[in-house]
Amino acid sequence: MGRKGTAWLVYSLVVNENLSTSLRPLSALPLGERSVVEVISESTVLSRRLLEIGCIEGATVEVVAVMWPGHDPLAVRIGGSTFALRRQEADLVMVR
Amino acid sequence: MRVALIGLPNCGKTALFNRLTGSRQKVANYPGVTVERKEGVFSDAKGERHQLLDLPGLYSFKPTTLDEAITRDVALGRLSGEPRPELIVLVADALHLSLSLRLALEARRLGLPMVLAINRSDIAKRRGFQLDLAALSRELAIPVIETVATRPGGADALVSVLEQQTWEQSDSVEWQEPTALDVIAAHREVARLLTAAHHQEPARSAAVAAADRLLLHPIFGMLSLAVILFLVFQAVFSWASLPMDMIDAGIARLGELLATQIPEGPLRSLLIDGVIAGLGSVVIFLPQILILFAFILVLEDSGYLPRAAYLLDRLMGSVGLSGRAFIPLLSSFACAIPGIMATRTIPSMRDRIATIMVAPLMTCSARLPVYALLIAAFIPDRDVGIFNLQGLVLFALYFAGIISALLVAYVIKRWQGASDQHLLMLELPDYQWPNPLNLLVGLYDRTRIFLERVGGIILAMVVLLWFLSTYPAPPPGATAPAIEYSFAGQIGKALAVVLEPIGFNWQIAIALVPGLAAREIAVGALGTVYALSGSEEAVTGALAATIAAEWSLGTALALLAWYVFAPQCLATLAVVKRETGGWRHPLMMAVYLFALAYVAAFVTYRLTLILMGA
Repeated sequence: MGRKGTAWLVYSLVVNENLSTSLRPLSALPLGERSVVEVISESTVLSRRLLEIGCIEGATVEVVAVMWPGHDPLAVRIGGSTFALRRQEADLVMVR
Repeated sequence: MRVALIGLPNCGKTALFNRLTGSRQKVANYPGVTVERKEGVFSDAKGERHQLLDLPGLYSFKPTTLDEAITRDVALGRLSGEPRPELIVLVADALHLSLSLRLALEARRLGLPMVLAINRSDIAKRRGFQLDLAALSRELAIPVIETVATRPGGADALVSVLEQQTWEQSDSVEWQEPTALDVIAAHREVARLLTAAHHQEPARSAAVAAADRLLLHPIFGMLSLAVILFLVFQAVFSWASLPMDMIDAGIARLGELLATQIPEGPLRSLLIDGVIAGLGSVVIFLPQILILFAFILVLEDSGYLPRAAYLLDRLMGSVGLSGRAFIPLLSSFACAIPGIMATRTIPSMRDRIATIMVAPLMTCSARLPVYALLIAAFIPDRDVGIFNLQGLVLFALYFAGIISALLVAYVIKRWQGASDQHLLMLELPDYQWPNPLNLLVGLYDRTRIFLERVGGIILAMVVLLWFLSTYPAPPPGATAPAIEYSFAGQIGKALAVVLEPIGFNWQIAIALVPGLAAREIAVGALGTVYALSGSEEAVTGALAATIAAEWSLGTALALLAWYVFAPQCLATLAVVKRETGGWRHPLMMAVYLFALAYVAAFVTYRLTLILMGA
């Protein structure tokens, strides 16, 4: 959890290309596979809301349902709660 | 003491509010905005009365919606006309304790005394939830208690804490909006608190997971949604028939009784032709409205509604609506006014206005009496396969409303351009059994509102209409029914010139005008008009039989089509004006709905004439 010390890094890491390559967006996570949130991209309202619903660095996430066509929206388990996210929202979250 | 309930959406806050206050509650709006204000009273063991305010649910004190802004402003005492609460009860959901605690940490900065109520602890414990309340209370330095809002006596611990303690009003602190860094820091602090309080997170319910695999599935989920909606419409017709027959018989008996007791004259005509025929034909639809509401309440309480929003999100997105528009639009099936008010959960103003503009196309319950009357009169009551034909037609009418809403939303999107950031981010709470108390309180409210309308505006309109339909009296030697010489008859015949191309006669023209005040008045008005035209059946409540004999099928179908788009009631337009802050949108709405209604009725009438070979 404490791999990247300060909260500012959470925001700035998205531009770090070395790290981004080893990460994938939440929307690419296969159904039923658990992962851990690494980075949330900065975007005005959306990323703030994601933080508020518990989608922070280190949170456990699992995609529990996906609509098709287009893989949009998704139902994602974040910590102890389940949220419906549009793909645009889920794409802001990079997971391990 | 003024106590306010604050909590996340879906934390069981409203159930706790109902548990504490029972039916002693008052629903109104906050001054200047259409956010619902729910207030009630409860007494503690000492007999002291407390005011309880149920504030809208929120995820954060940095608001993104109007709802959340109201909660913040009330809690800070910034909303004029609304005294600041003296105590906050922060309702935490034991199933999502960490998010609730983060909100509690933000709420603590408001500078008000606070109690933390861990709600739904019964369900959570069955799934292995553990928490040391005393330890958490020490860490937070506020009282922490458990509540089970769904169980009688489940709020007793909360009430006794309130009476045991004296609450000191702390000095008002400088309020600062939480930053993103604050949010992250609060999450860390919550993790620390939970460890200190030996928190054991409840396991995810296997039943919920299994249900979601089916109900959120792209194919089976959609099928389930279609089946659920279809069952609702079938039930509205088949379950309601018995109580409706009973009300019908009761009204007929009352009419006969009055006829024998009151001498011939204006008073007898007013009571029987005006009040009984007019109100009776509206009251009869109470069972259907209650069944519809019961289903909406159960779907809401069980946690299914946000899942339906999830399933339909793509469809909504493709016409430029926010996924969050689903719940306001579904509420509009009950009434467009709460539906339009519920759009306040949509953060983008452009999305909100698009949703408001199409909300009146959802078939509100006031249209149900009109549909039900015409269907009963013109659609044979027989089975088509496993379905009832009348239920099918009703389903088709609702469906027509939905399709046209999507089309209109699409036109608005093409015309205005869609906003780029659509927010869905909707919580899918665990399923739960609907709470009977919530259901009863909801149905009681609905019945009260309906009967108040019947006794208020509908009664006034019906009496006015009776007067206009009775005077002036016909000239001596007149052969046609007296109503044809009255003011109403003259107005109706003048309007009929415009309405004749779409198949409406002058009786319908008369009914459409008061129908602008409230749609179901159209039915009451038809009842009065036909009663005064000398139809015995209209007096005894069998308005359906009268119009079945008097109207052509084309006229009936055209009127159904008219009411799919039904120029909405004036109350809706007033709410739209208040919500959008001007006359522009309500005027546009009235014009486009009138135009659609006229065109749809015209096409339906002409097509029926051609198909019937006339």
